[in-house]
Amino acid sequence: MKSVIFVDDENLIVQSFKTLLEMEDIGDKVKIDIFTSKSCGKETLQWIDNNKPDIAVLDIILNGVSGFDIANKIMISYPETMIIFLTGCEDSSNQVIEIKHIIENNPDILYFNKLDDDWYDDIIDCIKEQVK
Amino acid sequence: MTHQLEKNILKLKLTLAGHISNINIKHENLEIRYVKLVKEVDELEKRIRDLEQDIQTIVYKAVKSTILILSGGIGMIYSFIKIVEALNKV
Repeated sequence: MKSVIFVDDENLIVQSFKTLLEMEDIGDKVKIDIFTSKSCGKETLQWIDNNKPDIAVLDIILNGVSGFDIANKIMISYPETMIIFLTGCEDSSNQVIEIKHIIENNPDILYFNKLDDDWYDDIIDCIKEQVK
Repeated sequence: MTHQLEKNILKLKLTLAGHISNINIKHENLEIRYVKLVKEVDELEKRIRDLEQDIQTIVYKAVKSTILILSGGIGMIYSFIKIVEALNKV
């Protein structure tokens, strides 16, 4: 059973994605934990201390703790965990520039944009690849 | 509801939520820019008030200097006339 965490401050996104993933044929091979609240960044950091996720899908703009902070902790504590950055920012934004900079140094990290078509399918495909 | 229909609805929700997320980010950025602009306008207003004060001071000093120069000039002319009168009497 692969452990996936999905962190996004928008409830509609995490709930819909969780349901969609569970409806896939890998639904019984994946355990997805979602974090969506005003303080979901801090909650996630505490959760990571007690659990070792296999895949982390991280929104960037969160309250207090950013997706970059969470990714940094994962890279240090659990380098084998797959990190997927997800953002709704445009390509010209500082967040996307920062993501691209991080990926230059860590080519295993993936990045998807919520403005692109079928971003959720791309993430599910990545999770399927990990489950195989 | 069929399985596929439910999946399609979820996908539509996710697409929509992605764009809402982008709009929210833009809205937050606009709010930050608005607050920054209001602060800049306040600072500019303060600078304009300071400049107005400086201009008033400069104008006051210029007028005062002009009056002093003119009165000095008039005094000199008066003295010169008096000297000429005295010389004529001699």
